Amino acid sequence: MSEPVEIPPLDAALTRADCLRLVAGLEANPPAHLRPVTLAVLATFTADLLRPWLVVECARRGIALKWRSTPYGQVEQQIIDPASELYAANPEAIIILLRLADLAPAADGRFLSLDVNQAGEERGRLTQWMAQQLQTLRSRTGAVIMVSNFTPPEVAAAGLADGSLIHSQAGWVHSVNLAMAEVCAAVPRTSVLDVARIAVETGMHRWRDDRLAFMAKAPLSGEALAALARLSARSLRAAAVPPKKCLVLDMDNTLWGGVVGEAGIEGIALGPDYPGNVFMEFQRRILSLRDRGVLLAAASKNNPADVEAVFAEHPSCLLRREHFSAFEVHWEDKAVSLRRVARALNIGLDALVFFDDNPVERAWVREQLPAVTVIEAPTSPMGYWKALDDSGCFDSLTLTNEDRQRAGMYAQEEQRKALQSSAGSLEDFLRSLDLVLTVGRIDESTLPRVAQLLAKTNQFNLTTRRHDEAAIREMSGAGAGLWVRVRDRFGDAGLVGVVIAVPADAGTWRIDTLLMSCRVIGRRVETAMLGLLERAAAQRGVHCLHGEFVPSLKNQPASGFLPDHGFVPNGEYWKLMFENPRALPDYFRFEDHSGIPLL
Amino acid sequence: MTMEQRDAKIIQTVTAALGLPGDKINDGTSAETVPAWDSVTHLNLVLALEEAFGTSFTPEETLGMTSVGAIRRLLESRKA
Repeated sequence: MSEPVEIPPLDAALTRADCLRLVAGLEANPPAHLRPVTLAVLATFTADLLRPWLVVECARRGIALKWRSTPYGQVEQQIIDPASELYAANPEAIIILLRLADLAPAADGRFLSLDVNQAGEERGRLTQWMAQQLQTLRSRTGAVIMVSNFTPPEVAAAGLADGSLIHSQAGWVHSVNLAMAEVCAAVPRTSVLDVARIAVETGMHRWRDDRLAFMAKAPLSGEALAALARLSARSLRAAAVPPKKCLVLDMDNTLWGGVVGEAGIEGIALGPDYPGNVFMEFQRRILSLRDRGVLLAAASKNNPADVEAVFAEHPSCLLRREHFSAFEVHWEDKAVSLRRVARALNIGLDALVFFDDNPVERAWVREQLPAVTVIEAPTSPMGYWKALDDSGCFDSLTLTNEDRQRAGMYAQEEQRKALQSSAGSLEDFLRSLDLVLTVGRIDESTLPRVAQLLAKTNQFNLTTRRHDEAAIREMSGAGAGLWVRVRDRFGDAGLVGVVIAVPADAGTWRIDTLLMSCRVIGRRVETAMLGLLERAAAQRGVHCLHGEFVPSLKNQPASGFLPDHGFVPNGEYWKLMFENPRALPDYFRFEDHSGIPLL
Repeated sequence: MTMEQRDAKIIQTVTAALGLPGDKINDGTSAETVPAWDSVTHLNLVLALEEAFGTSFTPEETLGMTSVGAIRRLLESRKA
């Protein structure tokens, strides 16, 4: 056996020859620290040329890819036939690469031969076909599915006039992509591989290689293959690894040019002209990350008053103090600051990403806190965003409403803390919050969020079982799967709790999963969830629950839950017998979507 | 680029694409004698050569580059 190959870092430029040389070693002898993922590729054209690029890009992102190709141009046959190469590969991920020319030749090559109605019908046919394929696929495999969307037309049928047409060909392709996105959103663990976007980034003329297209039915240029490999590798990583939660930012020479403590608020580079506009743009993109659900924190060695003044008074500073969920501005060690940020936000150090222009600080944090992801910031601030984005730290294949509201929720939490310090007892405090708890049974619409919670909840989680959507659906059907949403006078925390129980012995259910997002810890939501589960059980004539506590590195907060709620040790399990379900905490107002009798 | 540099670059690229050690590669190394040199490998090799030499090949040239000798003669005729 040869030595494992050395994997080039993400920012190293690679030639095709490099990729070809690396791929043989990576496939024959995958480095042990990489996570193995078996990928099946379905394509309407020859996609084998993608393999070396994709294997290498995956290795750079921590994945040992096992590539399984299927005969090209047989997407449908492979999906329909249970004995096909696709299913034989038993893949964990499936990428489906589609080209309009192969699926809708008329709409691609002679768009103007279709009238508006026919073009609409063609869109309907394509989306129905896709929905059918995905349904069959989903019923047969639990793999993550990624479907490419369609690039803009290579040649516009109406030529110069296409842009002036209300029903243009480019517009039609875009409408097909939107319809396909809707189809994918309805299928669990399925997302769109945004090939349309990277084709435009690359340029349509450089996207296609006529020679390869005509000679080998392999239409993608070398440049296109490299771009597609980067996108696919990032997506595969996002499917396998939960996104980081918090971006911890330095201030001087990161969010503005210069040192505010020396140059003063007027002296720093931040404004509409160069170089200040470079920092403004970086701030704008950071805010866009926050809109996506990433929490922001500050870790800066400065006088707090200087930094606060920039956020409060500088006319071009887009970031404001309230955008930061944690604020560590002082002269202490940054490793200490990062530890405090994690503690304040109730998240692990491994959920933090640290961005600092100073290589000494980066090296120190890397050495002190290896769990923290440290971005290698380039010398020029113009490269900051690219370095941050290329890291893929915050990549997520889909975005839920909870994600988009997250940063705002942390701001509400600060208001709650202020109220708590003025209230007398915990009861008084909880009563003053006007808590509303909504309960429902897990269904197709809530399944993605429920699966997301199972995948990433670490602290208040009795068993830390990471079931996929199919398993959750099955268990909920056999026993009960309930979700709860919590809101109060400060805002809506969203869907934050899940309990799943399955039939065990006669008259007994086993609690497979009981978890709650850390954002609602301390409001006795767990007690309410257990009370609701007891009601769902009693409704089915079940009056005995088995519970387990499976210790992990992080779930200490849930360790007392079973004994505190009357469960008694019983061999391997904790056991709870009840005649009638317990009273539900009276400071909650309940809204029921589950059909469980609440009284 | 000298002749030696060009030949070394060809051998490096062929080594990467075919997984053959450099000392096993000569003008006679061809798609007929090397089992790993299939149609996909051929296209990978052609793309890698194009990048390495900053050039591009026509379909006819691509089809004709089926031995190291043919590749060398083709690049020689380009006078890079």
